[in-house]
Amino acid sequence: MSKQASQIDQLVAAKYKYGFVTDIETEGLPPGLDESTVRAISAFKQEPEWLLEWRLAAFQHWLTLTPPNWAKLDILPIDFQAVSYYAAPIQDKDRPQSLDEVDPKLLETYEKLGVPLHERARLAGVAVDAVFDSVSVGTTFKKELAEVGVIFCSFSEAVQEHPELVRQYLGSVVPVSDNFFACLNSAVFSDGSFCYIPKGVRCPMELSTYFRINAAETGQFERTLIIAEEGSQVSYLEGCTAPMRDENQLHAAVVELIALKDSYIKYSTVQNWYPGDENGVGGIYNFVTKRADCREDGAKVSWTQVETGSALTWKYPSCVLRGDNTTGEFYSVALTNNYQQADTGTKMIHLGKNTRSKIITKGISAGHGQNTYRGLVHVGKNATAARNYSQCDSMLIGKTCGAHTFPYIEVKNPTAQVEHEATTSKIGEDQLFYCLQRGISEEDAISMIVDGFCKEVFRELPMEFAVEAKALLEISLEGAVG
Amino acid sequence: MAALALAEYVNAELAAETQSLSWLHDLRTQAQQSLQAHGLPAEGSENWRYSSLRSLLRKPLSVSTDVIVDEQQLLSLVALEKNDFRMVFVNGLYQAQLSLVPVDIQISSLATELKQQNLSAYFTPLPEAVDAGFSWLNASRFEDGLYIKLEDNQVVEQTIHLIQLSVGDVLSHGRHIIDLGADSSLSLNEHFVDLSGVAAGGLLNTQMHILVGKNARMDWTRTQALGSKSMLVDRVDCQLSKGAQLHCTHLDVGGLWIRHDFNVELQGEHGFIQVDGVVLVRGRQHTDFHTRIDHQVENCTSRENFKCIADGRGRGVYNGKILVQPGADGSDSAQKSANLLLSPHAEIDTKPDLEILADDVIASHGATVGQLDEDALYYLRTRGIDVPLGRKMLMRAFCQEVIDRVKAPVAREQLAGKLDQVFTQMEIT
Amino acid sequence: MSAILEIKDLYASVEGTEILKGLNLTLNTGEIHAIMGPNGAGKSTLGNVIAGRDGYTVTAGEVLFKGKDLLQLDTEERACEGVFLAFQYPVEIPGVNNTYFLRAALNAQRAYRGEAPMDAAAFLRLVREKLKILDLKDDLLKRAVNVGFSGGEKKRNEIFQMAVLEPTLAILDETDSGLDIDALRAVAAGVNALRDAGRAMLVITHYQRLLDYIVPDVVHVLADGKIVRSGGAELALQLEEKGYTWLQQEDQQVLESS
Repeated sequence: MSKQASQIDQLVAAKYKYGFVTDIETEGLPPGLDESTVRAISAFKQEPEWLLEWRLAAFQHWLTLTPPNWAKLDILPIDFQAVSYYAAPIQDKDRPQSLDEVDPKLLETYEKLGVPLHERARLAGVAVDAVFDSVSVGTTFKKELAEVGVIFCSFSEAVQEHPELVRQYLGSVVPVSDNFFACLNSAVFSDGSFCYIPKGVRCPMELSTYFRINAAETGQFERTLIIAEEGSQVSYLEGCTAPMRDENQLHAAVVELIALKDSYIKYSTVQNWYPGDENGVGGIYNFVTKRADCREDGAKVSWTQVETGSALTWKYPSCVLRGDNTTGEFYSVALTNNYQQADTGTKMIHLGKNTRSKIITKGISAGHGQNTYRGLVHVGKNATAARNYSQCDSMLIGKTCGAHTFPYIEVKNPTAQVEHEATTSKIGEDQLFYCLQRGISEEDAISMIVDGFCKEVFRELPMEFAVEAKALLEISLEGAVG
Repeated sequence: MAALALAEYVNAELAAETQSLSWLHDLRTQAQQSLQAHGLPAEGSENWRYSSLRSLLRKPLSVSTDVIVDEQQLLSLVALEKNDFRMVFVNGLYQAQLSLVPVDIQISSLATELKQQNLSAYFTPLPEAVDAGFSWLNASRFEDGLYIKLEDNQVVEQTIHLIQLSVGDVLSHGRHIIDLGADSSLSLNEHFVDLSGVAAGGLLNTQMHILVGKNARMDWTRTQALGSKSMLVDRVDCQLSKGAQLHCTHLDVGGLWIRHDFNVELQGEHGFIQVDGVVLVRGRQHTDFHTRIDHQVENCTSRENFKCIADGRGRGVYNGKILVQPGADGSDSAQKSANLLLSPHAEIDTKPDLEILADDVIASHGATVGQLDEDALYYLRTRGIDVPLGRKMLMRAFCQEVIDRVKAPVAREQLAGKLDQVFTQMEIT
Repeated sequence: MSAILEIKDLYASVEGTEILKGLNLTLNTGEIHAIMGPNGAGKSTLGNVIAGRDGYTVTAGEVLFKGKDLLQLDTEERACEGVFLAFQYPVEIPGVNNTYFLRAALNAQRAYRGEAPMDAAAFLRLVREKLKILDLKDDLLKRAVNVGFSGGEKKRNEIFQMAVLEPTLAILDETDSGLDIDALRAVAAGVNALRDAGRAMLVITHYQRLLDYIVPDVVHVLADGKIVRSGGAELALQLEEKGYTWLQQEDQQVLESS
């Protein structure tokens, strides 16, 4: 065992691959938050009056709220005055007209991240919107998408170009007053992605956003809004990274999905924010509100997430199954290593008739990681013939981590069928021995077994993301073997 | 004392201590201070999320006065024979004339025992959680209860029955202590029964402290068949030593508003706890069952199996928490919550929690909410059984798994008989 | 000889799909009729329509049982009148003891007929006697209905229930499916022991094999929701030899020649 232990020590030292800092000039607001901050952000973005009013109302409401404390998270008090609420690469003033004009350092950053931002990334067939600190820096494949009527742009651009859509749908899924962090986001959100799929259109390519926090002492508050009109389909991918910094950085995003009649939105996330070092210093505090409204009959939303990063994750991508015959799915892999903490899960709110939901989660805890699944399945009085199936599995690697499961099941309709199962286990010694006996190294065996454990979720990811997710999991697990 | 709303008891002055027990006086004072500081569990308390106290707090309740109970009537109510061992409490107070106790063990009423010896260790420390209001209410006001102390190796062959009878709109605070020495064994059948009629009902705020010594064993059934207006707030704290075994089966078929908190600490290796329950809520009944099983050391086993049937406007709540503390390797825990939701106005809320802080653990839980099997009902009908009887048969069958898990044959038959009676009398269409 | 079951121009659908399309059939006391036919012809639907399963909607036609309109009766009333369905897939009912179940059924049927319930001792004697016929073990009585039974045990349990309940009309829905030859013989022996001048049986089967052991008076071929051919026991043998396509081809020839 001692030999293994020393190997482990080496591996624990494995570094966060995405922890570089890009040395480019940024402009922004000094740390601090009051009404003038909100006005300044709105002014920077030359927003219409209604949006400023909306932000200010959110800010006023936020002042009355206190941070939630019900999650199983050990959070240092957050000083909201120490955060800078706006940072943008300085070139933003005279924005590049094409990708060729984008600061090469920035492009280099995305290349390091493996983001296929440049035109040659065409091979990947992914249209990318990249959000760097607070602003969106470029969207690829705009023309191709415009041909079929798909709007895919930064949130700021959408405010200028499609104000009627933004105004109609913004805050209609996650109201301003929904929770502390969503409310804060509503006041100070800087940018994000906007996506509109017209009636009957099947989006011809995967849409993707990469988020990166670069500047120090900066919070990122992006906002994503996706609207799928009747009969449309879209697959949307989201990736996140941040540099290694000793202080905890704040990320509080809001994602709203509106799925209209018979539409289908597939939303995949690979979250790899900086998790802090092996002693739990630094890392991103990730407080995200993600919610989908299956507003009309036959709509379907599928969330898939692979959460390997962040010092702290507070995130419950949810589905409001309002229309009849709507479907919600949630597939999740959450890994916590070192001193990472995750409290994540989903809410499936069954309101319409014949609604279906499925929850598959895989939690992996290693090191001193604390991993919590928190989920709600609610079947309302009128939700005739609702069906839910949940399977929540946890795997523990080592003696100092924790795995927790808090499934809330509330059923008010006597035709509902709800089934929840959960298991907690460690990597089977017999499985491990079997692999070792066949000549497979312990590291490989563990990653093989963990990969098998997560297979059901990886299967849901688009191909190129599945490969990335698997690789991420391996990196994040390095040194976790006990 | 005239009837007060429950809410008013929180601030009511404590009765002067009749015995000069300073530790008891201190305990009551401290409990009362906590009670006044935090009150009864407030709206928004996570542990009371699905159980609003609104209807309780308004309920006018008086304190116990003497009630004459006919022995024959009582025995038929709990289906016991005249020579069955039993401790009978009416509105929380011991009734010697209705009781029959074995002479070879220490068994008595708490009020008597308090005069004999210092029992302070069984009462401290007081719970500190802000939502422990009912515990403080009990600690500040309890008068009587069951006291059993088994010496090492003492085996009680015959079952002892604990009967808690509620009569009228009375607030009572039963306090029970069971302390089982090493290698001892006890079978306890507990009955919550009612003679209040359909118009009145009490609030029983009971607390039970159970110590199961090394390799000791306790077999326990709890049948709650209170009247349609009575309420029960019941808390049990069990501590199991090395190799101790506790098997407990609940049958909750009565009452209007019921709350159970069943807490178990597995303190010694190879401890075994099984806590099961059948819960039936109809009419406007509300039953909230909280269990908390704390694996503190290695190689303990816990088993839970709860079945709830909700019909009418009934609401069945289950919250089962399994904790596995750091280092408690070899813990083996399984938990199941199965529910039948039969009416558009009924509700099921279930939450099987796991908190695992050790890695060499087997922990699984499952929860289901569903309906009676239509294929099975059709099968019964093709054999000539009508729908109401068929539904009753299937409901009864749904509960059978819990009954089958009761080890002691006599207790198993008693619970099965009670269930048969409930379903036979049930009106169903 | 009087008609026990008369089915006249019966149309029935399941979830909006029409399965039976003008079926006619008359079954007299003491007779055994076999219903054969390809998969999806509507054989099991016929059994379920007669037994009164929810979701099987009769859209036209009538079913008379001993002259009574069967379709007006609830499922359990039909059972009490003497209709017994031996299920193709007997339902498992965890928690319901086999003996209790059977006694509840028998006493429900007795109550329907205005008879006093059978006491436990008399019931046990009856059950022991019937068990012998089916060569079943006592322990079957202690187990939950069909739970943990092998395929063969389930089918024998169906026939055992039939023996206890003594119906006027027994419908055996693919009772032979999933049985090995020994189990098939045991089931057939049980059925033959229950052949009686006062009882009629409708044996639904896909294969001729069962009819070697339970020899029918009449064989009907059911295809596309109708009886397309009726004949003696030899019809089953012809079918076995030539397959169901033979009938279709022959029909085609008949059509062409006319």
